[in-house]
Amino acid sequence: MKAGENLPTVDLAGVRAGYGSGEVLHGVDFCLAAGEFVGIIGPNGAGKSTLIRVMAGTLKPKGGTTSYPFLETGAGRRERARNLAVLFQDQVGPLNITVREMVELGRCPHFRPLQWRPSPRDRQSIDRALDRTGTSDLAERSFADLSGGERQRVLLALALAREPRVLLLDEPVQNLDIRYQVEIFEILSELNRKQKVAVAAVLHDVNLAAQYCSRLIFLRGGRIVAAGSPRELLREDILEDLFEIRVEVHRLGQSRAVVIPAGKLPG
Amino acid sequence: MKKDLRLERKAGLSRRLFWFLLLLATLGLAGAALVLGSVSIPLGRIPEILLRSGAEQGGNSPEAVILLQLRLPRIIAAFLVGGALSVAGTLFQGLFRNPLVEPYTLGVSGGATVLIGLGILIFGPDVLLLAPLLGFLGAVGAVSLAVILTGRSGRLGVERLLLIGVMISFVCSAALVGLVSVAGLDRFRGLLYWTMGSLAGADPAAVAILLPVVGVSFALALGRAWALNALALGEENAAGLGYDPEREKRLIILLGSLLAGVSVAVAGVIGFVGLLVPHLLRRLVGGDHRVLLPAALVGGGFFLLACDTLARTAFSAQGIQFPVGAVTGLLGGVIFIALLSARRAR
Amino acid sequence: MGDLREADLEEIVRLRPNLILISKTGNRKAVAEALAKVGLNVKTMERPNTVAGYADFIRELGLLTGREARARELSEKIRKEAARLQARTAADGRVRTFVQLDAGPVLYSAGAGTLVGDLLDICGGENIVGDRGRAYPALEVEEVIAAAPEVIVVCVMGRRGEAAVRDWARFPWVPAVAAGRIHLLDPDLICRLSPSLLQGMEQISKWLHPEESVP
Repeated sequence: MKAGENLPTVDLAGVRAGYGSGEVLHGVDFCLAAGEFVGIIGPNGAGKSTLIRVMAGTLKPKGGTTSYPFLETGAGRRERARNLAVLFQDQVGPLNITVREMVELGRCPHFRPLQWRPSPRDRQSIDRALDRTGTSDLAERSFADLSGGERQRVLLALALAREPRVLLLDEPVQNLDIRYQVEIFEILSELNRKQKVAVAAVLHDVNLAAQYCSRLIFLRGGRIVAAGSPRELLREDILEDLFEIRVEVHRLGQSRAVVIPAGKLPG
Repeated sequence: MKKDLRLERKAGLSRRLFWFLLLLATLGLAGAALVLGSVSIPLGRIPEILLRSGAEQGGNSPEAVILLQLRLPRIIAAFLVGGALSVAGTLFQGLFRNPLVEPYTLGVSGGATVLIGLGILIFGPDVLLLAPLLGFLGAVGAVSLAVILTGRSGRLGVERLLLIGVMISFVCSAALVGLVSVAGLDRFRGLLYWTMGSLAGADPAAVAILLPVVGVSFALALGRAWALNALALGEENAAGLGYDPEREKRLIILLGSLLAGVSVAVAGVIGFVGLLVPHLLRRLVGGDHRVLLPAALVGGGFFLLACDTLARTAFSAQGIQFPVGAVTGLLGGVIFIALLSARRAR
Repeated sequence: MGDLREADLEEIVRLRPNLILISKTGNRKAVAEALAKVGLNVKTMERPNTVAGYADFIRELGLLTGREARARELSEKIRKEAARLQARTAADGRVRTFVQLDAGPVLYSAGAGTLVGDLLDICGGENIVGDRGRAYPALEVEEVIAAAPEVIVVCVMGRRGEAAVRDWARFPWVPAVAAGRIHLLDPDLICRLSPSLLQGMEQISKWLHPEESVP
């Protein structure tokens, strides 16, 4: 199963999923291909986080199937963890461990059964992850001491340490300064282009998403209402439908567009 | 909560220093505990006594018996119980991601006390002979109940578990008050002493039970160190790292309850150790469970040994054997508050 | 008489006893006054902590209950026996004794200021607890061992008492253990305020000085 450009990595078919007795996703078909950078966009409550969870395998769907074609059949949890990294930012509190120790955690799936400390190979990956996220100089500091932006980057390093082929992120740049938002997008973008890591991220900022993602998914009310390239999807009618506000889309040159909110919808 | 109480990371050398000091202090303390007591046995004679005791015929020399049958088991038991409670506290604090959780939170002490109390109510004070067994069963029973009640949907929600555990503790307290009102305080005097916790009953048999149980549980817990670190990131992130959160949770609860249960069986309810020591150590050595768990074992053992030695020698001339639970509470509380204030002043 | 428990006032009133005895210890005053108000015959008395005081107690009780003669007889008997034992002690000397009141891991004993302590003193025992300034001091096992008692009286009921007696076998060089002079005493005999105190006295004196056969 060698890397073709469009090799599917995570494949959702007819997935219905929810928590408790409710249902949040009502029949979603979605396939993440290798090398894609997909932005998942939608209003609150649309089921974006749920979608990520199902893709990551941490939430079992009530209907439909989730499959991982890029893994060998019968791959277990750890095998999946080695190749697919998911990060839920908000669950991580101010832990009093060093940055390096945190990123070491990212190598867990690669540890042999009784392995106690990271092996030299592990250390390589860790160093590389730290390097890529620009957090090498933070390595010996306590995670709890870091600023929001630094923490996000460290968590990203944690995800990268395992050298995954797929990266799933739930609002990775929420609450960050624009500078850090851009930094992280740049890192993700480089990963995506150079290492061909498939990235799927739930994003709030349509403009940034449009700038960096190769594909966008609009999610609303538990269904995918639109999917396609940013060029295709950044249209006033689609956006107004999605967010229920008026928007203006301004094209800047050939390939870029900017979305500006323009007040409430009439009626 | 976030900013003021943090400690900067110590370099690797400092960690070695920490361990060296801790182990040295523990050995020193053990030596002191061996020497102290109403029968004074000078330190210099101890090795000689220990060596000769093997060869002694018939009745061993009084000093050898005091050392081997009374003091040494008590010292070892104090160390193991303190260690067990601290490790259990660390496990639970890591699991619930709550620094106020202690080993008894899930109803361990309540269950143990109520079961023994019921036994006394039905069968009379003689039941206290079986206190260790009943205590253990009650402790493990209470936790099992909490787990069963929480995990009905298959998923063991830690917040829910905590709530249910606390509720069970309350119910047990109320039940105990009820029992006492029904049968009169007299009958339960023995139980009252038991709930105050004491290491006076630690004999070689107790050590023979403690050593394997604590040893194995600790080893298993240490094996889950990475899992605990991963869980600290949140259950879903841990799952993303390849762990099965449900399985890990259950295993951790099992180990923690075993440790707490066996402690309660041997020594009654000794509070505060399982709360203070992990909390303190987290500040000192950080949240990595590979270090935290062994540190808890030794640190907790040291702390309880110190408290117990103090409890039995401090006022023995006046005929008071302080309950060790009171010493842990007082000493621990003072240390804790002092440290908190010192941090803030910085 | 007997246990001084929490009083269920209503129950007491309902039973309409002829006489209520309340010990002076604790804050029973309020209870005493409340009951007196209802018209019951209430008498507060000190709990005796010496044998002599106990004898007085019996006499007072006799006066109150109208059984003077019997009470006086019992009281005299106790006094005489106490005197006899004290005289004998002067002649035969004292026996180092440890009285164990509790089966639990911590050993509680009775000191000089208690009824049990006084009893022991009269019967010719030398309480190893000595003068610790507390009525019921707590001791470590090794303290008892260090004091090398010649007799150990275990004052605990039931199986726990038996287990406690057996436990002492761990220390065979202790004089009491070596000589097999560990005795189980029913706590009711000495810990309650009943005529059985006399029995208790007899028991203890027999154990301490077995060479004296009391016919």
